[in-house]
Amino acid sequence: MATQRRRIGLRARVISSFGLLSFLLSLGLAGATYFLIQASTMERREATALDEAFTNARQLRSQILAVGVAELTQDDLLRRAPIDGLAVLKAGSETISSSRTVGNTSFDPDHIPVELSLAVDGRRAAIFRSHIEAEPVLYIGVPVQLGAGVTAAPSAPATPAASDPTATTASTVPTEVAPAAQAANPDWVAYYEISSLADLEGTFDTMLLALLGAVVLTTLVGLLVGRWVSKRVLAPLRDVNDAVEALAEMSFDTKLPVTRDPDLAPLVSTFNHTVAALHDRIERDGRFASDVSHELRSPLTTLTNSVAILERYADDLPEPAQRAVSLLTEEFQRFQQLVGDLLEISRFDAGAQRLERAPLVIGEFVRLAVRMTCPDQDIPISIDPDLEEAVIMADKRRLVQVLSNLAVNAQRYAGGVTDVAVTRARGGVEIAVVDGGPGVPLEDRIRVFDRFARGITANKRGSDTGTGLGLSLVAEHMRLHGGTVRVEDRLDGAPGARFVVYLPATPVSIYDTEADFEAAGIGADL
Amino acid sequence: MGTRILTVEDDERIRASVKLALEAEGWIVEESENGEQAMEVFNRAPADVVLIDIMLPGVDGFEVCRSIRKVSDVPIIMVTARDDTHDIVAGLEAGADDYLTKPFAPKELSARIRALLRRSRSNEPTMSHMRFGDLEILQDEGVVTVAGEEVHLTRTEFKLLCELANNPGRVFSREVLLERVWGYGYFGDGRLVDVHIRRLRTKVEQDAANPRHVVTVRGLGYKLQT
Repeated sequence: MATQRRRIGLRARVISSFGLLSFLLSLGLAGATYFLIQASTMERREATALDEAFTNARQLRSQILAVGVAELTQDDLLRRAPIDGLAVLKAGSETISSSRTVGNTSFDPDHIPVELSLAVDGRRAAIFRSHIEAEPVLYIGVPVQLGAGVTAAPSAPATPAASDPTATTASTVPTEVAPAAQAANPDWVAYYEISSLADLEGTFDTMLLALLGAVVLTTLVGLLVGRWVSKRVLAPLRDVNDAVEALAEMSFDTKLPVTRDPDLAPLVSTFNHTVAALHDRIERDGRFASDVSHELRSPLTTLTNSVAILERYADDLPEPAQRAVSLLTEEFQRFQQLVGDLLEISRFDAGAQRLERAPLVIGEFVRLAVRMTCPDQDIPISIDPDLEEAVIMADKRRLVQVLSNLAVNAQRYAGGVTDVAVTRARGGVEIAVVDGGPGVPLEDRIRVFDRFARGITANKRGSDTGTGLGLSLVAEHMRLHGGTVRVEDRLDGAPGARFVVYLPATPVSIYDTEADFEAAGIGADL
Repeated sequence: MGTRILTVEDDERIRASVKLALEAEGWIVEESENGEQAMEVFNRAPADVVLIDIMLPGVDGFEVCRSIRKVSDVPIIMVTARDDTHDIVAGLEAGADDYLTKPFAPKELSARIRALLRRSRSNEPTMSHMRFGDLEILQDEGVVTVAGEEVHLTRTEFKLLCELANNPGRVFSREVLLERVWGYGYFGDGRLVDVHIRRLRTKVEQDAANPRHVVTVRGLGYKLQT
């Protein structure tokens, strides 16, 4: 459940909220508009129709009073019928009707709805809406009093219950019953007008369609606005993301631009404070490493010089003192190495390490480095002929330390280096230092590069003179170069380990042009 | 005759142990514990080699180095407690010929001093007079002129220029120059060469940013040309 919710992004949520909100709002507005307009239009239509019906009824009455019912013709009704409807006069059992159609639907004038005729029979005018088949129609019935004055006295507001189509009684008109009536004529006649509302319904349908169109449009606009807003709202987040990314690459001058936005200001200030604090902390660590280094170096300088003088004049000392001096010298060297390695590794931790890249001719460098590291041995070195006179950019001091630490490691745990191989690999260069020792078991091949990880393969601490930092320094130096170090089995299947360092730098032959050097990023100046 | 070495170092114990080690080599050692005192001692009796600790109270090592450079081209070794690139390059740019990082072994120190003394005493010129366009080198006299004007080089700069000049057009890698000028092996610090080349250019080139004589051969090293 939670994962499902998380899958919808913040952006999507903002956009869909805007869309939904604008949809609901516009739908509500459209609905209200539709029903209000429909009601008021219908009301007006009914009022007009009723008005007309009363006028017609009055005129008919005058005509009947003048000529009698029998003289009335279809034409008299036709003249009064609504445009798309019909007028019907019922006098006793006689029915005269202007036509037999309402709109496009046929209508039998003898079938006046019962609700209407009942109301009229009760001498009340009535109005109501109904359907004949699919045709929406408006029925109006008016009783016409022939005896004493016309029924249709009130042309005044008829108060029709327009909104309810089933309402049978829209207005009631009290009629005075005439005391005396002519025998030839009935007391009263019923006058009906039935008109089609199809035109109105058509208008309502069009309006509904337009309103629904407006709803769709508004929703779309809402979504667009949502998108724009989310973009604007999320823009600061993108800045934060960029800043954090820069921070991950240790660029501590990263700052979020100061903003006046009261909602963003706390975040910006917190972020900038955090960066500053972090920077401070790292700088302090760096300074600490540097201070410690300085504090250690001064006494070490005195010690080194004093021990050297002691050693120089050791012959003049009595035998026990001579042995003490030799122990002191040996242990002091190890101590010095340990301090040196610790200082080096603490600088890595403080992030204070920087590469001093300079062009190195690979063949010359590897040969000299191996000769310097193992001066008394003639170690076979195989170098890819292309690489013999190729140049790469690397930190000479670090790379020497890498090879020297690997050689020392081989001497200490595997009886020494058996051979060194330089090959091309993955666009860079690989240097393999091979020994003939017991090898490194699979499960230890990552752990050997941990600090103080010595003794994994052979626990010979008693005679161990290493600092336990050698291989981890190799790993750090390689990481700084963007390269790697790994240990694997010997390629020839013989027992032993093969430590391989990979340098991603592009090697360029010394016979290539300046342009090639430039392309490989190899320069000659600091 | 006695080679005189001036050490400028505020740490009394280091000063004492260095003095013992250098005296064991048969050198005469003069001490001073700060910059002002060092200038006084040096002005009274110029030393053959000066050893300056960068971190001094008051006037720092860079300043002492610059002051001495104004009056002398004596070989100067900067001693730094931090192997920080910034300090090392700043020291070399202040005019130091070489540098040592603490803790240094006495053997290393005397080797550095010997190398500096050797090259400042015995230049063995193959040709005494050489000309590269507007640049003229008189090796015997130790004089260099640019467009007829004499320019003043330190001994290390002069030696570096002569190494390049003795094989005009040949490309010298940093490592070869380190070996020949400073007596380091292959694994010396290439920055020594780079900084000295830069300093040399400001003196012998009309436009140090676009050198005509001391040119860089990308990826390989430096050479001298007309």
